[in-house]
Amino acid sequence: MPTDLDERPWPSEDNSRIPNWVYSDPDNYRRELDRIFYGPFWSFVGLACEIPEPGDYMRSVVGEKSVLVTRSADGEIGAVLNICSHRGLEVCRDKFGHGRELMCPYHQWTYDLRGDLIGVPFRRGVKGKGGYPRDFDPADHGLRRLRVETVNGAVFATFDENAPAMRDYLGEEIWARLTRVFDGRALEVLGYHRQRVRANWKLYPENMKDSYHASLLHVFLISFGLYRIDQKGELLQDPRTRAHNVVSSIRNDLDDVAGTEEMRSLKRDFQLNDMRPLASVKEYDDDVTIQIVTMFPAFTVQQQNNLLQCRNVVVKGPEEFELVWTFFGYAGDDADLRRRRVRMANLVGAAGLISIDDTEVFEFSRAGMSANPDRNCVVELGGRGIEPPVAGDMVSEGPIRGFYDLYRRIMYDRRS
Amino acid sequence: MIDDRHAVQDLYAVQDLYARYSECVCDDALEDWPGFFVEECLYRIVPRVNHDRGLPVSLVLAESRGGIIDRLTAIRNTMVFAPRYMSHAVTSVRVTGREGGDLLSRSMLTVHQTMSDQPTGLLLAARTFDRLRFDDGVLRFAERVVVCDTESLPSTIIYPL
Ligand code: FES
Ligand SMILES: [Fe+2]
Repeated sequence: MPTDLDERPWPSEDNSRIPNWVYSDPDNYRRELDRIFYGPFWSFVGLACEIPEPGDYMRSVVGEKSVLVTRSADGEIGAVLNICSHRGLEVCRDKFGHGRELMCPYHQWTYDLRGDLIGVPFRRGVKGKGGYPRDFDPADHGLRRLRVETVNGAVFATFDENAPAMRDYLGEEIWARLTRVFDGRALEVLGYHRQRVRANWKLYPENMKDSYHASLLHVFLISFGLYRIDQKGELLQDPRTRAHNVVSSIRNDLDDVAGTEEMRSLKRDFQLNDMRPLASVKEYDDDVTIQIVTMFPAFTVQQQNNLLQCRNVVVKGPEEFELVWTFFGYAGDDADLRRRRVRMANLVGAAGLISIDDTEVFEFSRAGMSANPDRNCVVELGGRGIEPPVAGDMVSEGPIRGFYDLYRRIMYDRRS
Repeated sequence: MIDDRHAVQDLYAVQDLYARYSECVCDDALEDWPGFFVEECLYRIVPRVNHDRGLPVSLVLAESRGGIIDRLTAIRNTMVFAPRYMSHAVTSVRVTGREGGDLLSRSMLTVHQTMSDQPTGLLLAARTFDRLRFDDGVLRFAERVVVCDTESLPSTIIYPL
């Protein structure tokens, strides 16, 4: 049934204009939850190494719904909705747990880690009185199970049976980059950061696709030569959806720069007193120093030199999200490599020398967009189409237009 | 229990250090901030979950006074953020022990943040575990570990804790 949302005009036929209301409108947000976060798309729910033993479980989130990611007795990883079938309580409030079963504290219905209801107190009543009807079948009242797929230790879940398998979902090129980092080696979590950002969730994946801002906003990054727009780089898109992306780049020498006269914030005279947070060693078979894989709708995994992190966006309403950082390495890392990863964490996260620029400007975005829903963003860098930029060209907002190509097809019934 | 005059003097010195440190941050006199640390120091802000699970990643890590100066350079010159005032409340200051010439101390810390155009809000609640050293006759941090209960931070951490 068409609703107001379907009648609302998009400001341009193509995606070179994005209306500000998509970043604040509550009806639009509710539809995003239904069609995107609870639709046939995959959400990141954690790393398998966070629940290493049979009987381990942890809380995670899909959309706004709490889920439990579990490793059942047979070692298999699953995910269930964290809500008791009896009266709707969140069954588990602990971040991490271990046990044979999950017991709801209210009336002590118990479930096994696959979600099957295995215990109902007073099912037959007391002294022959009361109890559940004869035809009450616990098999009908298990925890809602999600579909789960684990990609070399990264766990993804979806409510929708129709979601394609992860490899097909991402497409070959993006899959290859995701599995360059999740390459089959056992993973090890090095820590977490969590922060609230008062802005719309889409700004995060857009930012991670946006190579334009990286060389302008991030003075630290460019001043210390970690990234510049003139570096050899790649912007990849999944050619079918246009909505999964990779931004990657290879560092070149500080002096070997072009286009820096347009980078007003470039400051060449800064020097670090303690260089250890930047000291990296070559770790992969290629020379890629930054690789950002952005998966629709809102999961990012980034390699920056030896720094590896998942950046997961958890939606909290139309104008707020939580950014959950999971820092990781490989279980086989030696002490030196682990220390490098830990030191580099200074660059990113909730106090990151680079990353705070992003989360701060998102709140500037909210302030501007929320009060001006009738205005539009101009997204014309690199043209107006959704084609990926030609190889090596980083000066394009094509990936953001690509995101909205899929987004509009999912979200609005009346438009193509 | 405070059992001698030395202990009272130590506690006074520690409280005085915490007060001056808070004033440095809240008065926005950050140029003085590195001077609160000895040259070979360790400064960490850690989410409590990492601390409790023994995970090594910090929110902020500096392993020398140079690292502290680097963060100051970033705050003053490279980071992009909205203007704000900080307000530190340090309570329950206690000297918990001595090791060599060092004093071990801890405190409870709450930090409020005031953004322009907004009412004051709570940024975080934390505990600090510190190692203090008389260095050139001045008490300085040899180690400062701030463990943040506030796991889901309502905002970025720009200024020192
Ligand atoms: S609400 Fe869970 S057992 Fe009653
Ligand atoms: Fe950025």
